[in-house]
Amino acid sequence: MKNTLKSTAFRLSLQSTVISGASAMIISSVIYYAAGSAIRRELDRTIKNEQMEIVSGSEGGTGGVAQSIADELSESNRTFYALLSPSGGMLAGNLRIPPALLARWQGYETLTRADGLALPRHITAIRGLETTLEDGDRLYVAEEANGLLALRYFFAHSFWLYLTGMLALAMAGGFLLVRSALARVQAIALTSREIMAGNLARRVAVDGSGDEFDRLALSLNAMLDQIEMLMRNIQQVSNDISHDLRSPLARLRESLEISRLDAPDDQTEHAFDEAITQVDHVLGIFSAILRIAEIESRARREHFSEVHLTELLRDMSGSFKTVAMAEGKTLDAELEPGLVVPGDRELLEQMFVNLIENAMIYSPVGGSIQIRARAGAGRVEVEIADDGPGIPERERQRVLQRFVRLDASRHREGTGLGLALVASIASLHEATFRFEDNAPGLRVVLHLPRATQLPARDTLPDVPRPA
Amino acid sequence: MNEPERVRILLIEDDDKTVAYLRRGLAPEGHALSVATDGCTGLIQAAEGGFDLLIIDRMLPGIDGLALLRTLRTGKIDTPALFLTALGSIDDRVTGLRAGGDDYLVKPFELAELEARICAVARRRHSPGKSTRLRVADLALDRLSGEVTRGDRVIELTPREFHLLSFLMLHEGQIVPRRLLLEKVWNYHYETRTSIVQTHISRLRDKIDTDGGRPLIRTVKRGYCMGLHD
Ligand SMILES: Nc1ncnc2c1ncn2[C@@H]1O[C@H](COP(=O)(O)OP(=O)(O)O)[C@@H](O)[C@H]1O
Ligand SMILES: [Mg+2]
Repeated sequence: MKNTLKSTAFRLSLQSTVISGASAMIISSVIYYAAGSAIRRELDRTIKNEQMEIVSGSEGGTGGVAQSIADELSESNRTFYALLSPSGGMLAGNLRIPPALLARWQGYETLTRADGLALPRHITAIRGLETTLEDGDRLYVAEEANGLLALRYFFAHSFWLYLTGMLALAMAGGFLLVRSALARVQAIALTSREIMAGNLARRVAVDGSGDEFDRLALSLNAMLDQIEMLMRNIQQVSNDISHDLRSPLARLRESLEISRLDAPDDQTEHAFDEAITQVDHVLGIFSAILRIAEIESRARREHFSEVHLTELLRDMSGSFKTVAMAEGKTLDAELEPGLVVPGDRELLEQMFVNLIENAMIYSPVGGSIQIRARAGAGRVEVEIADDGPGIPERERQRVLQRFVRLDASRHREGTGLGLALVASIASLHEATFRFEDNAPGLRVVLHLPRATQLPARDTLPDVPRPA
Repeated sequence: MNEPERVRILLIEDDDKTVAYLRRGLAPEGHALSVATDGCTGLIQAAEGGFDLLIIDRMLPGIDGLALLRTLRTGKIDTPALFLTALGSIDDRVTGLRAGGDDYLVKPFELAELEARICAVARRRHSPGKSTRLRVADLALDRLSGEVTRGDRVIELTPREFHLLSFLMLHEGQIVPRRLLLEKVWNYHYETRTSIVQTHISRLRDKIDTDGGRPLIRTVKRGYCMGLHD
C-alpha cells in the first residue's frame, strides 16, 4: 500500500516535471530567439548608420572613405572598420580579415575569434556589415557584439545547468506536493480499513479547507455516521433481546431445577442437568452482552479507584499456574512490584482472566504462558504471551468483534465474546492494546495509564470475601 | 455432619413465580418461609422481627428493595439480608451491598447456591463468636494461625488453598456450587472456561485426602461437598 502510493507519487511528479521541463524549454527558446533577434536588429541599425555616415560623410573616393574611417576610429574603440581594395589589399581600418573569412563574408555576419579575427581583450564578438562601394572597394563596418555571444553562451552552457536544477527542484517539490495529497488519500484508506476492522467510531480527518479531499472526507463521514447508526441499532437490538430473554430463560431454568427435584431416576435427573447447562450457556452469552453494554456506557468510570495491578496479577497468575500445571503447561509471571493503575478492579481482573484463559486454551500441551508487567513512561505495560497458533495479522482487528471466532477454534467451546469484552474494558480504562506475533504464538501487549494523583473519592468497599 | 438448620426466612418478592420456585426449592431443607409481596408489608414484617434471614428482591412495588433495607438498617434492625437482583450489573450488586445487604444473588440462581448462602447466614447466627478453629473429622484448620492438620500430619497450603479449604469447611455437609467458590474464593463474578476451581480442588485433595484417611471432599453436580461420606 505504502509502496504503491510512493510509486504513484513518483510517477505523478515525474509527469509534472516532464511537462514543466518541456514548457520551460519552449519558453526559453522563444526568449532566446526573440532576445537574439532584438539585439541583432539594434546592432544592425547602428552598423548601418555607421556605414552610411562613413560613405555619405566622406568626399568620396578611396581617400575620402579612408579619412572618414580614421576620424571615426579616433572616437570609439568598440567599432571596427576595414576598407579593402577590389584586389583585397587593406586600404584603411583596424580590422584584419583573414582571407578565408573574406571569401565568405556577405552582408551581416556575427564573428568571433574563432573566425580568425584578432580582437581586443574586452571584446569577444563583433557583428559587421560588408558593402561594396561604387568604386569597387569593399567597406567592412563592425560593432562590438559581446551580448549576442553571451546570450548564445548562456543558452549553450549555463542554461542546461539552470534547467537541470530547476527540473530537480520541480521534481522534488512535485513529489512532496503529490505525496502530501496522497497522504490524505492514504489516511482515508487507513481510516476506512480501521472502520472495516470494527472501530466504527473512527472518522476521516477533515481539515476545513473545503478542497476536494475535504468534501470527499465529509461525504465519507456522513456515510459512516449512517452505518454506525445502523450498527448501533443492531447492537441495541441485541442488548434488548439479551435483556428481554433473560427473564423467560431464568423462568425456564427455575422450572428445570424444580422438575429435577422430582426426577424419578438418575437418567432423568441427568437429562435435566444437561438442559440446565445449555440454558446456562445461553444466559452466559446474554450476561456477557449486557456486561459489554454496561461497560460501553462508561458509567463504571465513576467508580474508578487505585488498583494494585502487581498484586492482582500475582494473585491471578498464582491461580492459573495451578491450572497450567494440571494441564501440562507452564506459566511464568514477571511482575514489577508496586504497579498501580486507576481503574475498576473487578473489570481489570475480568479482562486479564479472559486473556490468560485464551492463552491457556489456545496453547498446546507442554506450552508455556508468560505474563509480564512493568512500568513505562507514564504507563504500565502488561504482556500476556503464549506459544499457540497465534492470530494472523489480518484477523487481529476482527477478533475483537462480538462473536468472532477463528475457524481454527470453532471446534472448541466458547462464545467469541471474550476479546470483545477485553476491548471494551481496555477502552474504558483508556488503555491501548495490540496483538503481536510471539513467534510462535500470540502476545497481547496492553498499555494502561499509570495512576497519578487520583481525585479523592470515597472508595468502594471491596466486595467482602469470607475471612 | 451438622444437623440441617431450620432457618426462618422472610421473602419479600412480588413475583409469584419466583415465590413458588423458592417455596418448592427450599421445602426439602425444612426452612420456614414467610412471604411478603410488596415493599411496605415486607418492611413492617421485617421490622417486627423474628426472622433469621431476609431475602429481598431489588425491584418491588411500593418501596424498592434498596430503600427498604436502608430503612431497616437505619432502624438498627440488622437481620441478615440477601438481595435478589434480576440484572447482574456490577452497579446493581455494589449498591446492594452498600445499602447493607450481606449477600446478593443474580437471577436465575441455583437452589444449591441459595441454600449454601442461607446456611452461611444460619451458621453465623449459631456461632456468633466466629470460631477460629474449624474441624471436619480429623481435619483441623486454625483461621488465626493458619495451621492445617489432618490427624497429626501438618499440611502446608498456599493462601488460595487455605482460603478454599476454610470456605469448604465452613460449609461442611452442604453442596457448594463451583460458581459460588469462584465468587467467594476468587472474587470472580463470572464464569470461567478454564478449570480453575477443579484444579485447585484436586491439588487440595492431593494434600489432605492422602495417607489412607477417608476422603473428605466429594465432587457433586456442579460443585463440591465437604465432610465424611458413607
Ligand atoms: N491466545 C490466542 N491464541 C490463538 N488464538 C486466539 C487467542 N486468543 C483468541 N484467539 C482467537 O480469537 C477468537 C476470539 O477470542 P474470544 O473473543 O476470547 O472468544 P472465544 O475464546 O470464546 O472463542 C478465538 O476464537 C480464537 O480463534
Ligand atoms: Mg476467549
